[in-house]
Amino acid sequence: MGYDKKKGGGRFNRRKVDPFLADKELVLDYKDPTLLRRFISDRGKIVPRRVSGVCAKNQRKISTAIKRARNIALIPHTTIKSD
Amino acid sequence: MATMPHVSAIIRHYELVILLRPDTSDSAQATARELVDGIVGKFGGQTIRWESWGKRRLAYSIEKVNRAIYLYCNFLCEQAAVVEIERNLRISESIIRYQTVRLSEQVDMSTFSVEAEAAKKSPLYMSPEDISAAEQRQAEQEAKRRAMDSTRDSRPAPAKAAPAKAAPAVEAAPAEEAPAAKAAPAEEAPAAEATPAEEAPAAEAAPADTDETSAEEKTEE
Repeated sequence: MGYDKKKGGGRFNRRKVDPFLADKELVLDYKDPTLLRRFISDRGKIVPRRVSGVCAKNQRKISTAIKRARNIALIPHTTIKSD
Repeated sequence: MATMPHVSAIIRHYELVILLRPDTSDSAQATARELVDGIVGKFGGQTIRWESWGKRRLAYSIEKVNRAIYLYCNFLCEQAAVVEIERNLRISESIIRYQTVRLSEQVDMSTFSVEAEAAKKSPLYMSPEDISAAEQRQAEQEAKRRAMDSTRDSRPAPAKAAPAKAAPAVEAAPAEEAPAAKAAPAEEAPAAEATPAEEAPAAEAAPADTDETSAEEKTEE
């Protein structure tokens, strides 16, 4: 798997590593906004797996954690101001 | 809704985050805690630990409030107790948001260690000393900001005067306007820069709050 090989017009893609598999100490917690910020875009959107390289199982966990954190206003739903 | 505790109710492990209005007094915070403790106790549960995360800036405003006092509670109880707790939290005026999360569906008391759970700390945990220090810092920042605002108000006047003079002489206008236009942002810039720069040392003192506050303030602009 991975994207080590040359793909398309001579572009190399570095293999992305799931940070939770790389570092066993890292615990996903919806109460930790600094950690969750790694998985949301500048606009507050959840970063897709194809970009972050997180494995499917962890992506599901991240997605629920982000939604919980959004609910208690630790991270934004969006950075566009509504008011 | 207040049902009697069942004899063979399944004990579950929950955590609860409560957001209180920033002007909530300490005694009102204590009442909120007692409310939860009381209901958990009534249903034969057990509160494992309470945490305060201090007054935090919200990622978005809730009920027209931009900051909130965060309280966190970790407890063991049956499901009916949660229903009752949430019903009461909804009634309270000072509570702007709450969220209960079930950590485990069934707790086996023979293997579950209450002590280990009580010793844990959330990433956002703040000790009482941290909270008082943070409050003091915030008060200082507000005082500075107020002082800054008063100086900023006196400055823009000369900048506005320049384009007004340039108006009658049409040919001279572009040449004269240009420096005036440049001067205006230049004068504003130091004032704008000064705010994050002054916040930085204060923010370093409390690592918990650092990135969020600075990052959020940037995105909002």
